[in-house]
Amino acid sequence: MTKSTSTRNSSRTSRQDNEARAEADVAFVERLAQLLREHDLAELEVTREYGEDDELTVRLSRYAATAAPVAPMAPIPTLPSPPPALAAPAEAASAPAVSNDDPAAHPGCVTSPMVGTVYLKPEPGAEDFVKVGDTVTTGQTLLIVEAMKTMNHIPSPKDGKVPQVLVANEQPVEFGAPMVIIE
Amino acid sequence: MIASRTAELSWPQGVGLKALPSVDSTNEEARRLAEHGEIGPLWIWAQHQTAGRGRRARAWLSSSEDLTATLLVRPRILRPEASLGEAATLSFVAALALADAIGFVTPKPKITLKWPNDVLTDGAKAAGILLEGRTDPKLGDWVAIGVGLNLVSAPTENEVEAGAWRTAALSQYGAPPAPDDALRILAFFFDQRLQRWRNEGFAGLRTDWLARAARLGDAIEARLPNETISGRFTDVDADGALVLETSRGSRRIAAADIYFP
Repeated sequence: MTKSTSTRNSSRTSRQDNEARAEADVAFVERLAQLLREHDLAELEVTREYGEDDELTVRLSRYAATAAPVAPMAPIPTLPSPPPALAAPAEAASAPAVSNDDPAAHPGCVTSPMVGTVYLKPEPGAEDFVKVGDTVTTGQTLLIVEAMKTMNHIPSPKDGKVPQVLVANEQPVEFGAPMVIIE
Repeated sequence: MIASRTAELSWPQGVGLKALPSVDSTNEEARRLAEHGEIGPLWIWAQHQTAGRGRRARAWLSSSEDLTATLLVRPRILRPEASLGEAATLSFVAALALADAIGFVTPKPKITLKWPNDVLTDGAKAAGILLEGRTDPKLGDWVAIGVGLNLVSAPTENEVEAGAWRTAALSQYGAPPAPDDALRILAFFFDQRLQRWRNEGFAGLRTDWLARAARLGDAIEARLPNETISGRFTDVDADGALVLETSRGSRRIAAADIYFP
């Protein structure tokens, strides 16, 4: 599992610039993820300066429970040709290990804001909040993460479809763990 | 006697109250209000709940002479620096406030806390707490802190699920306050604990919680959905997680049901 955080300060960018930059940024992040795996690094942080007040900071870490939350990767609209999903919920439960097809790198990945237990259903025996293939709207509850007996409803950050649910019902999750993809 | 002492407690400043004769569940009402933009802090009090519930849809049984109420708060309005996860430590605010309130009502029982938010009177459960919330950086997050306090009635063994904790009501220690007085008492102590959380977060409550923890230092059992962890209960960490020393090392647990073997 890889987590990435990117922040950007940019003062002067046109829409076209943004798009071109977004593609370059994606390639950059992918290359960093590759380096992370090749050299078996736990964490990597790189700042690229494009000019005054214009820089990109990328931080990648592999399965670190204490890492910073995944910030919305706003400048990156989509990853080119996302690889096919390998992590079925059952696998995610038993082996949340490093994978080449890292869902956490997906810009539509909803991650856990806390350490806790996932509930995919509002109550035992009920239907899941969302299933793979569903269409969801902004604010719709995707699942619950329980921590300290607090049932936290996790809403969809945007309108979209659910191509992947990466966690199983009643699975323990770490902070920042990828849970659902919305695209 | 309780009535006169209760009159000395002022209703907390800046905290609203919505009193209802009947509602499905005070936590449900809190959710509806939050989704319509209610900022809180607001107490929702119902004399009667038609669909009172506990964790994972377990029923919560109570009479109109018991107290069922919910405090709606927006954690990051109270404490802007709180992380989304830190809102979960409101569980400890609730447990301590409830313990304070019961202690105010009656000095008789020994009051202990079972991680994270069960309040035990002489080892029995006279109250329940259900926190439900929404973590939402865009729409604004909120937490509904539901409290059920058995003033006069407690479900019998036949009315609760198998393996449930032994129940109790405060009436066994003497005449309990009326629900509206009990709410005033609870609101007062909640406000004090919440102020602490607001200023210091869980760090401001951790020591107080540990001082009242049941079975601290003893062997206990944490039941997770797919695993049961046995170990010696040594601590609660800075995030509120339970710390167990097991034969295979230290474990930090953020979600589990605790049992005393």
